[in-house]
Amino acid sequence: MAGERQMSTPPTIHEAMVVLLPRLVAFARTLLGDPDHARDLVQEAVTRALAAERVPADPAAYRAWMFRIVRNAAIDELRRRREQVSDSAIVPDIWGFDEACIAKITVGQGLTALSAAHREIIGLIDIAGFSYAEAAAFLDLPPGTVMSRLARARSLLLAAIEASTVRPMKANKGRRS
Amino acid sequence: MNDDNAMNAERERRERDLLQLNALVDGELDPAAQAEIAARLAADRDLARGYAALARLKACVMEFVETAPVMQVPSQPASSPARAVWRRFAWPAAAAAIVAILSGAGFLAFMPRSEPVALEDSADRPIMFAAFPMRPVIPDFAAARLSLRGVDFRTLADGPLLVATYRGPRGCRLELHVRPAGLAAPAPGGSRRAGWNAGQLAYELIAFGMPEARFAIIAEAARRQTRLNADPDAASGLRQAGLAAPPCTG
Repeated sequence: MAGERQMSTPPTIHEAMVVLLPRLVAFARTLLGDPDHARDLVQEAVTRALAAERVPADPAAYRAWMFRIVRNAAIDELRRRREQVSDSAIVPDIWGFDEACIAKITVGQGLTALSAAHREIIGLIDIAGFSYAEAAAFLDLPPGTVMSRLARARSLLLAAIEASTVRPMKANKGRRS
Repeated sequence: MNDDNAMNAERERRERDLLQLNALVDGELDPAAQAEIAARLAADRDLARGYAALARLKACVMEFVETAPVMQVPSQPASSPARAVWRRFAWPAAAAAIVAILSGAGFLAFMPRSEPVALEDSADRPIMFAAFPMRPVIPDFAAARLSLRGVDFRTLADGPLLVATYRGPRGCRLELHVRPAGLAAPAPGGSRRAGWNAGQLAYELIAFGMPEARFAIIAEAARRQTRLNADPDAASGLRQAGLAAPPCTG
């Protein structure tokens, strides 16, 4: 946290922000579910970050700081919506899963069925690119909890995909005569 | 009892495997653990299917980053001490990332409207328009996800005032006030204001709670639109350029 008290030069900061933007938007999208709201939220978060007088100088700390701003804004937004999503009681079975069902469209739909905490852990690991240790520090959780939460989240996501009526179209490998 | 124990043991084994497979997909296993699970994957078809499912799932989630719309970093707020430095590099930094302005408002500047919008429902329109020295322009902020909710004509002590109200999905509210140039502005309000003249009309955009950077983008788009409309030569020139231009071939 000491790094957050240091000043660094704005060009480095904003260049870092430019690189982070697509991941921040994608992360916000996993939390909120809606791409338009995600863009709005990140815009506000970035504006808030630009107005901050002190920012972390270390790139890793800066990344965590930016994701934390977006996360906090998303939590506020979800509170406003009073979203109440409970975990599914179904114990998912990934072992017989039909891999062909997994496509971007089905994953996008499946994410909306998850709780905020499960969407968040998937967003942090797969979109933000955090390691388990970084995610644990970010969420202030033991690494073991991060691992189990992530495993549970992915299993539930697979279960949501399987339960969905949306199916990706099969690629036509043959040629039409 | 033995069956229960066996089922519990099986469930625990599956849960351990699930954690291992996730860690493998995420590159979080040390080399020894990797080798161990790799050997099991080669021999256990179910385990291999689970791994394939998780790997594909991760790849699909990661695709969201690539398809996420690229945004422009908003300009530095005026209160920031780094403002001067920001100005120096703002364009190169933004150019590296810009594909579309986040709010979408920017492109409005390049899409001039020659006709006001959403005034058709107003029964008072002919009378009120007669009170204005020229027809007011109501900019379209739909691309910035602000929709026009209403247009109201008011009569102030010294002349008419048109008030267009816009709302966004997240509590954003804008008002556009249009009055004949030279008339006094109504009482101040809102959290941000931008005023300009276009032809014989005075425009004032008023935001309620909108971030400064976003407001600046929208105000600039509105300013350009209204000014373009107020300059018939520029507008007709653009229309001619659109109609008479030869195909772009190279």
